[in-house]
Amino acid sequence: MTELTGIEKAIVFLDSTEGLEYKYKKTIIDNFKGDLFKDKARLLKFFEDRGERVLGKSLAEMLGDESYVEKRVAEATSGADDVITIASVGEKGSYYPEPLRETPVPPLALYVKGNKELLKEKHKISIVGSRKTLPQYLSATEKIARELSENGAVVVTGIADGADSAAIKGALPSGRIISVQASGIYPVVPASKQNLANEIAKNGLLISENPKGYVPRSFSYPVRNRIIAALSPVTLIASGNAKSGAKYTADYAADYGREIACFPYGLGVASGELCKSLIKSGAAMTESAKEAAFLMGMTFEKKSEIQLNEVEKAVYKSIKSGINSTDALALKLGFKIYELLTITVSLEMKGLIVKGPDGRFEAN
Amino acid sequence: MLAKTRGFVITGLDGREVDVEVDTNLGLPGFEIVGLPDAAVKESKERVRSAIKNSGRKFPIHKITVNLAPAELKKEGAGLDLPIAVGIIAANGQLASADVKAAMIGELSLDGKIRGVNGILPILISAREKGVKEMIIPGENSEEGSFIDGITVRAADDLKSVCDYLEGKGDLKIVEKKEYAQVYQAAEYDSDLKYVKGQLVARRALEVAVSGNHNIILEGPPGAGKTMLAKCIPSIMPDMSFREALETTKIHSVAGKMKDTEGIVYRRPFMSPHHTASRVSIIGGGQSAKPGVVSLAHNGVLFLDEMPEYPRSVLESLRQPLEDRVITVTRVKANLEYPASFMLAGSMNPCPCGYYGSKDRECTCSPMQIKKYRERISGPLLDRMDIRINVDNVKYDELTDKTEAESSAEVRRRVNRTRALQRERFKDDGISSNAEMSEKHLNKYCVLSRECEEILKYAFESLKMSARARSRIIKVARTIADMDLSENIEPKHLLEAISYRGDGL
Repeated sequence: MTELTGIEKAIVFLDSTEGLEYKYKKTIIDNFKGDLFKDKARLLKFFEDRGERVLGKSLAEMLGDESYVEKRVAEATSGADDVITIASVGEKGSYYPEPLRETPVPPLALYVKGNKELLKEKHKISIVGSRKTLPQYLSATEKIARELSENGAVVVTGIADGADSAAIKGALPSGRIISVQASGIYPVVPASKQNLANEIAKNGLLISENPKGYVPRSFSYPVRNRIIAALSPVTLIASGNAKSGAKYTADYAADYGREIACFPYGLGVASGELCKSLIKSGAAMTESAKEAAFLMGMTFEKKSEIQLNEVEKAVYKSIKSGINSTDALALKLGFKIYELLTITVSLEMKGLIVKGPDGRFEAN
Repeated sequence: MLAKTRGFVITGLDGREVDVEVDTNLGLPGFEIVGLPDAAVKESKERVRSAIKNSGRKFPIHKITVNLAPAELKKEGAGLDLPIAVGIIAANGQLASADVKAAMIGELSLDGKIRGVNGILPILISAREKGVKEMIIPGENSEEGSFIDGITVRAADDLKSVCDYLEGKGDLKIVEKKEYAQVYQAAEYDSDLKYVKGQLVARRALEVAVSGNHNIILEGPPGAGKTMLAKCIPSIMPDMSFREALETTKIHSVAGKMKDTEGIVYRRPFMSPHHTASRVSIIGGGQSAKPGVVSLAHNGVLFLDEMPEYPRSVLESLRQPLEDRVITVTRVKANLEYPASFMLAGSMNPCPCGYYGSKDRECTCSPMQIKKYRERISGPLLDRMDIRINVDNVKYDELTDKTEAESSAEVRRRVNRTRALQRERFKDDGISSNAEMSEKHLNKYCVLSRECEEILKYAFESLKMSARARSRIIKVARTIADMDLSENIEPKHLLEAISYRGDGL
C-alpha cells in the first residue's frame, strides 16, 4: 500500500468513525483538507458553529493522539491492497474513477483489493439483477458477461446470489471483473461468498467505500448500487421486479445519464417486471453480447460459428421454435429417446441450449 | 423322569438349535424354566399348562424343571412353547418314548392350538444344516416350509395331533414341496411401465439404472409422477433367482412379514419408508438388533420419497450398506450383520416449494432456501447416485400420444440380458454389476478411446461438472454400452451418460 497523506488518513479515520454522516465527513474534508490534525481550535469552532460541541471535542481529542489515529487507520485499511481517496483526484496517476467523482455523492474513499488497473478501463458494463433470476436468464447473464469480458470489457457488479453471481461466473475466467461490496472489503457479506470474493481478488477487483469490518444494513445496498451504476457507461438489468435492488441501480444509472440495457421478458414473469417497465420507458432491449457491446461503443468480434451436423441443426431448430421437452422432441423428430439424449447433450456442451431444473430445454 | 425335545430360536438371520430338557421330580409342585429365557419364553409356562390340559393330557403335579441348552444363548419368542409342552408330556410318561427325535417349533394357545411364529424359513435352513431330518412347524407357516429340500417338514395345527403323531396313533400332514420356477412364473407387479404415459426420458433412465444396478434420483415438481415411476423399478429388475429369493425371504421371515404370502418372496421388494421413520427402523436395531427397512429391501428397491426431508443421520447411515451391501447392527446384546444389497431410488423436488424453474408457476423460494434444501443430501451420498434425471409434468397434448407403451416384462427381458453380460464379465472380480465397479475395474473394463476422452474433457469444461462426476459417468456409459451389446464405450454411450448427470447437485 502506498503511504497515505494527511488528508487521506483523515478520510479513513472519519470513515471508520461510526455514526458520522456522509454530509459531515464531506464538509469536514472540504473545509480542512490536510490540516485536520493541526488546527484543533478551528475544529472545535467548526463544530460549535453547528451546535455539535460535544462531538467536536471528542473528535479533536482523538485526532490529537497521533498513535491512536494511526492505529485506527491501520485497522480500517487492513485487508485492502490500497485506499483510493477522493483527495487524490487531479493528482497524476490517481486511480479515482472520474465518472464516480462527477456524481452528486462520490465516495470519499474506495478500499480496493486486487487489480486496480481495471478501474482505468474505458469499456465497463455494470450487470445487476435479482437474486431470484430464472435459470435461463442466469445462463444468459453468464454468457453475456463471459463474451463481453473475453472481448475486453470489464464487468461491474455486486456479489449477491442470482444475476450478480452469474455475471461474476462469466467474467471471472478472464479476470475482468469489478465486484462492489456493500460491506467492507473483508469480511464479505453474505459470508457464503467469501471464497468467491477471494477468487475475484486474485485477478479481478473488489472495491468498497466502507472500511474493514463494516456490516451492511439494508440501506447500504441501494447506497452501494450508486457506485455500480456510476462506474460504467452502460448498466444491464438482467432481472428484477418492482421491489428489487436492481431498481435502485437503474434509477441511479438514469440519474447519472448512463445507458440502460435490459433483457427481454415475456408476459406474466414476475422476476422480469422491472426490465419490461424500463424498456417501456426507453431502455435498450438487449439479448446478446453484440448488442451490449454496441451500446458501450466497443467493437465486438464474434467468435467462429459453432459447427453443427444435420441432426443437431434439426433439434436446435425445434428447441428454438419452443418444443422444449425431450419427450416432445423425440416424438416430433422421430428419434429414439437415447439417440435424442446424445444430441441434446452435445448441444448443451456447445452452449447452444440449457436444461432447466424442470428438465426442459431453452435455446440460449 | 427326564425327557428331551429339540426346538429352534432365531438369532439374527440364523436358526440356533435349542435342546429342551424336561425333568419332573417329586416335591412341591412347581414349574421352572432355566437357560436365559426372555419374557415371552417365561410366559410360556402359563400357555403350556393350559394347552396340555385342554389337549386331553395331564399336567403333572410335580416339580418341573425345564432347561434350555446351550445356556449362554439368549432365547426369545414363543416358538419354544411346543417343544416344552411335548417335553413335559413325555417326561410324564404319556408318550411312547421320552426321547423325541423330531425337532419342532410353534407357539401354543390356551386351547392347545398351534400358532404361527416368525423366522420359519431360516430355522428350516439351519435345521437342515444341522442334520435334522424331520421338523414339525405350525400349520400357519406351512407355505414357508415348502421350498426347502432335504428335510421332511410336517405341519401341525394343535398339540393333540402332534402327540398322536409322536405316539404313532395318527399322522401329520407332510408339507408338499413346491417348485420355485412355478411360483416365479406367476410373478406380477402392481406397477407396470405399460401404465406410464410419456416420460420417455425417465423410462429410459430407469432401464439404464436397473441394467447396471445404478442408484437413481428423480427430480421434479409435485405431481410429475416420480413415485409412480419409482414403483415400476422392481418390475423391470432382473428375474429373482431362487438363491436371492431365499435370502430375501429369510429377512422377511425373521421380521414377521410372511403372513398371507406364498411362503417365499419371489417379487423384488419395494420398501418406501416414510421420512419420519426413525433411524433404527430403517437401519435395523432395537434391543435385539432386528433387521431394518434397508435389509427388507435386500435384492429389491429402497425408495426414499422426498429425499431431502429425511434426517441427515438416516441418510448418512445408508452409506455403509450402499458400499458394503451389508449393514452391521451393533447392540450391547448382539452384533449382527444383515444383508442389505438394494438399489436406492430417491425422489426430490427442485426446491422446498417444488416449482423452481417451472414455466407454469412462480417459485417462492429464496436462493438460500434452495441451497439449504439441496445440501441436505451430502456430497458423499450423492456420489453414489449414478443417475439423476429431471421429471416434468406431462402436458395434456403430450398425453394424447397413441403409441402403446412398452410393458415392464419386455424391458425386463433386455435387463436380464444386460445383467447376464455383466455377471459374465465380473465373474473373477467378486462383483456382479457395473455400479459396483471400483477404480481398478474402471481401468480394466472401461478404457476410453481418445475421442471419448476428448468428449469427456470438453463436457467437464463446458458443463462445469465436478471431478467427482467422472467415474459415475463412465460407469453409466459402460452400462449403456452393455445395453447396446457393444464391446467398447462409444461416444454415443458417453454422451447419453452425460445427459444423466443432473444439474446443480
